[in-house]
Amino acid sequence: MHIMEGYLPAEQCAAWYAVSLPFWVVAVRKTQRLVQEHRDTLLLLGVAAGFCFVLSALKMPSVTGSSSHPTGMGLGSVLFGPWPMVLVGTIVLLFQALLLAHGGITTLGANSFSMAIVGALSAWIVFKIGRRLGRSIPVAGFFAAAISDLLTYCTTATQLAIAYPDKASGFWGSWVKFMSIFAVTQIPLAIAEGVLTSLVLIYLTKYQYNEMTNLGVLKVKEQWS
Amino acid sequence: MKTGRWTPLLLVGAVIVLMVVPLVVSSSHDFAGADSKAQAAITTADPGYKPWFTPLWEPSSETATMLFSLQAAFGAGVVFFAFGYWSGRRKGREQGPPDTAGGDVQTDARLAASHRG
Repeated sequence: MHIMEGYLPAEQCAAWYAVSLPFWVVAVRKTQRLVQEHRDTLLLLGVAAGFCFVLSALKMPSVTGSSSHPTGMGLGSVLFGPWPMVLVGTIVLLFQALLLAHGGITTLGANSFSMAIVGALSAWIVFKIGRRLGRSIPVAGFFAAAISDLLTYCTTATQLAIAYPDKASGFWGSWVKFMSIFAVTQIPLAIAEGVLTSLVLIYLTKYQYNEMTNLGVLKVKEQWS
Repeated sequence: MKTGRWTPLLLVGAVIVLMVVPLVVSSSHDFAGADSKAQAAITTADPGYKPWFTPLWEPSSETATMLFSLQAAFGAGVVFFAFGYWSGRRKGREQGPPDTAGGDVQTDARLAASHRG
């Protein structure tokens, strides 16, 4: 989902920065408050960030014969709500842009929108819906992570289709092309990310019952084993 | 929900299968990154396109591999430190505080015995 450095027209880079900026401001404020009010959950926040670091560094093979990486945004968004992960995701992208020439500074606004913002918000919404439908935490977490992963790549495909509409078939022709590159490749990886997120959630509910209750992830009296 | 004893193993197995199947099924492909495929698609759609900005610094592919490994290692380090810490803490709580007084009495008795001897 990294749009390479210099591969978005300058005005669109600026536009995506402008779209992402308010989300970053809220994310910084909400994370500051979380850190001040819930010092006991700092280590758990570290786990969510660490998980995102690991998954976004792994380029996995997919059935389409190309490789791509998961985003790792789902776990943290399920635990803390979307905002801390908006910050974490953007930090990961900044690190990869500066040190790895992966993504870029000019495209950071666009990439942060697809991975950090769409990724975190969609994971959180899907998790809420899943819980409301009575799914267990690991099951709701699976769908949250998998769908968020997939939506991130759909967002990137849309961003590129806006920037490079096909000369003959226009936006939609271009969109189908970029979707076939990103979204199809991503399907098995999104499932893998969902499974891994689910696995971590199983262990977290085992060891971190109190902390998760404090965060409101678990309802009181809900028992896990 | 009861999580079965074998559930974690099954989940890890599922991820491994998801990674291995493509390697076998699509073994004729080169598994290039989707990002660079998109880059190629842009160049095909608009052959005249020149990136207007280039990365400030680009590591060699070996250095990039190292940095990606460091990123993953750092993340995994934090995750497993936390689980080790929590697992130890839970064990500590189940066993209760160590019985220090008893230990001291024993040591004293042994010391006294050795003096008498």
